[in-house]
Amino acid sequence: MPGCPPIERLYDEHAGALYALLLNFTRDEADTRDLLQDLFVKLAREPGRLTGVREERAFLLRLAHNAAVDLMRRRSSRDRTREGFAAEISPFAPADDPDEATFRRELAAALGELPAEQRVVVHLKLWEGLTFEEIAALLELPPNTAASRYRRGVDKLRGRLRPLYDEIK
Amino acid sequence: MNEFEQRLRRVPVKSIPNDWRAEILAAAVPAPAVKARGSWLGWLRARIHDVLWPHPQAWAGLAAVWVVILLLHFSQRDESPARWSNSAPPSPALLAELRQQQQWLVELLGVPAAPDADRPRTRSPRTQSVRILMA
Repeated sequence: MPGCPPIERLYDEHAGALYALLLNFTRDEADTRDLLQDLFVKLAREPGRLTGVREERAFLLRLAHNAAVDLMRRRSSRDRTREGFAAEISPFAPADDPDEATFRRELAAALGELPAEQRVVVHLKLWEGLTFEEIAALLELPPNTAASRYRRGVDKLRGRLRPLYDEIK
Repeated sequence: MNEFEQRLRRVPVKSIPNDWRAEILAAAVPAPAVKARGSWLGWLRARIHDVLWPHPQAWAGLAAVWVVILLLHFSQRDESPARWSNSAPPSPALLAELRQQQQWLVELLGVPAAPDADRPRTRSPRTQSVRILMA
């Protein structure tokens, strides 16, 4: 069917980015896998969803984010508290260098302590390279709100990581 | 973007596990065999699957309710004639009561009581009754 890309191509091009966002958001491998599978099942069953979409990556990131938000809302407050301090599941690749491994571990922990709405903006800006306008469109926010959430999030990360950052810089 | 943010940006995110691809795509595209079969049975199964997904249990429950309703319906239809044929004749007291009510009705309407069985019935007794009542 024209205009309906095969699901395999969508997976190969975008699943990695969706995985990183979902893992950073949920901090849970099983939840990430379930959300990712649900997303691709829906795309396979409703291929028309992508018809006319110009920015596939942004559209899929938005679907993934909305699904993750829905999941978190369904969770109990106990789980949300646990999720807020989750640092065991790192969204970053492991490092061989001990200093770098420590930095990544601390960064994962600091990100885990950010509110989810700041964390997702920081993720999209730093690791997806989106502009504030793109992030705002994706999250249905005013651009200024996206920018302020990013700034607050990065300031918290800097405050938490500055000693370690200065040490290994 | 300052130096600290650049530093953060260089930290690589974790890669998606390789074995997820086959599993997720298998879940997303479960019916290539059905499509490849190309038979009308495969087509029918695919359509039924499309209709029943995402709540097959709810549809199955609804179908079960309909089956129960149909069973009840047909079982009552089978019993009905037997029940009527086996029912007891009306009691003499009931017959007497009915005759009494019929008599009151005749007196009220002024129609001659108990017309002969051989006499042909008038075509419009109600019209006559209404005329009497109006008078």
